[in-house]
Amino acid sequence: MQAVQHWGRQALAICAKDMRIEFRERTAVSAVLLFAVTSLVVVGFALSGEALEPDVAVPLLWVVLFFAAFSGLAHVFTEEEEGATAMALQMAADAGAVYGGKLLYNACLLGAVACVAVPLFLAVTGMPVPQVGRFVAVISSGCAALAAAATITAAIIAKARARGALFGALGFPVVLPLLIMAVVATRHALAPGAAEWSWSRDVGGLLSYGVMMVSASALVFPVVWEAA
Amino acid sequence: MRAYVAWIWKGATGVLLAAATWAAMAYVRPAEGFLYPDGARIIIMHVPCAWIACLAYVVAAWNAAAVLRASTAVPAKWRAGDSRCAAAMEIGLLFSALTTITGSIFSRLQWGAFWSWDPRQTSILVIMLLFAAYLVLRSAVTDASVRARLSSAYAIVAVVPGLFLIWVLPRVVSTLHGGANQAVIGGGLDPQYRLVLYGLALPGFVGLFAWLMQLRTRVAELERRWIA
Repeated sequence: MQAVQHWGRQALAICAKDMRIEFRERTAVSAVLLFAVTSLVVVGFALSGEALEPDVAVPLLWVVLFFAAFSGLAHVFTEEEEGATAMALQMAADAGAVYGGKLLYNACLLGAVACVAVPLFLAVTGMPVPQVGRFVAVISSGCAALAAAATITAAIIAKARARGALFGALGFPVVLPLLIMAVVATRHALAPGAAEWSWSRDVGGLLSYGVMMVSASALVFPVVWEAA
Repeated sequence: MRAYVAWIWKGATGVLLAAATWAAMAYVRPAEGFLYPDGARIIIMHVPCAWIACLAYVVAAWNAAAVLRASTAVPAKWRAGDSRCAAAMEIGLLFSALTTITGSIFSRLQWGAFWSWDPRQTSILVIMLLFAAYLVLRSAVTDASVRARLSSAYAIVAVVPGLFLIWVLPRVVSTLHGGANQAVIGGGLDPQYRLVLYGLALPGFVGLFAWLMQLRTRVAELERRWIA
């Protein structure tokens, strides 16, 4: 029990450290938010005031969230490598706690971006949301799973060359099944009457992807983190 | 004795593949209920290619786990696993490309378009991207030990989307392959097709995979000794 508490304290401390750095520098949040807002401006310009059908709008929403996430979430590990602080962190904290802290930070960052980008997207596209609870559940579980996939991919590419290009190339195939399931679940949540909606299949599917990704990541992260 | 065994299984592979090709062209009847009944013969090559792509992934993931378990202080322990993992990924890329090509030809004949964004088609495309991403990652890391550990970690993480693509996604999203899969796996296949597919093509392709694995790992070993 004490070991779990120690692990939790370390993970929270790492997350808090990254948040403090982010509040000072605002590198990742600016990049991700700017990407999301810019793409929404492009969508709004293309629509010119016309409402968008949910069948088209839903994939567009997830594409915006995916590219926004992949424009900034790698920062959490690349800054440790570029700032030469990775070794100090390796000595100060357990590898599992580092993974937990970084995952929590990325999930918080993506959650904050979704809180701004999703309402803006709904305003720009004029997409109606009949069941707000279901819609929020799908977006939250999808973003959590997206953060899990992005975190381990970021940890892997931080040790390689050409990190920027690699993050997309390695992340896209890992995230694509999640995006397809998220698009289907969001369509089900937004459909009038929600006849095809199922909590276990739509939200459960996304959460199970996230849980499996976190399990696989926790298994391999110590090896990735200590590779040098 | 060992040389005789090798000659026997390699000879058997050649005979099985030659027999499967002859049977696909001349022995099996044109399939009833298809738009182009003769076009159905392509499943004798298409289905084993898809299965070998999946088998290659299983072999790669197994060897990736062996690399991650091995001590980095003893290079002989992780080098063999790393060579086998990379070889399986390269062969997997080849067979997933063959699956995509033969599938597209079948799709054009049966459904009127080379590509329909069917979940099964998307799945094999993403699996092909996973194989390619693994190889791209390997090319971006220069140190052999770091390369082995990072690429093995990615191979293990990529098992999660692989499982979702093969098992979950086709059950969540409606697929054109529903009837075809039922025919191949569910026992609804014509006895002639079943005999050729399971009796000749599948064992022949498994033998070909083993042979290619042996050749590729031997080439990797020679490259390591004489070029690196």
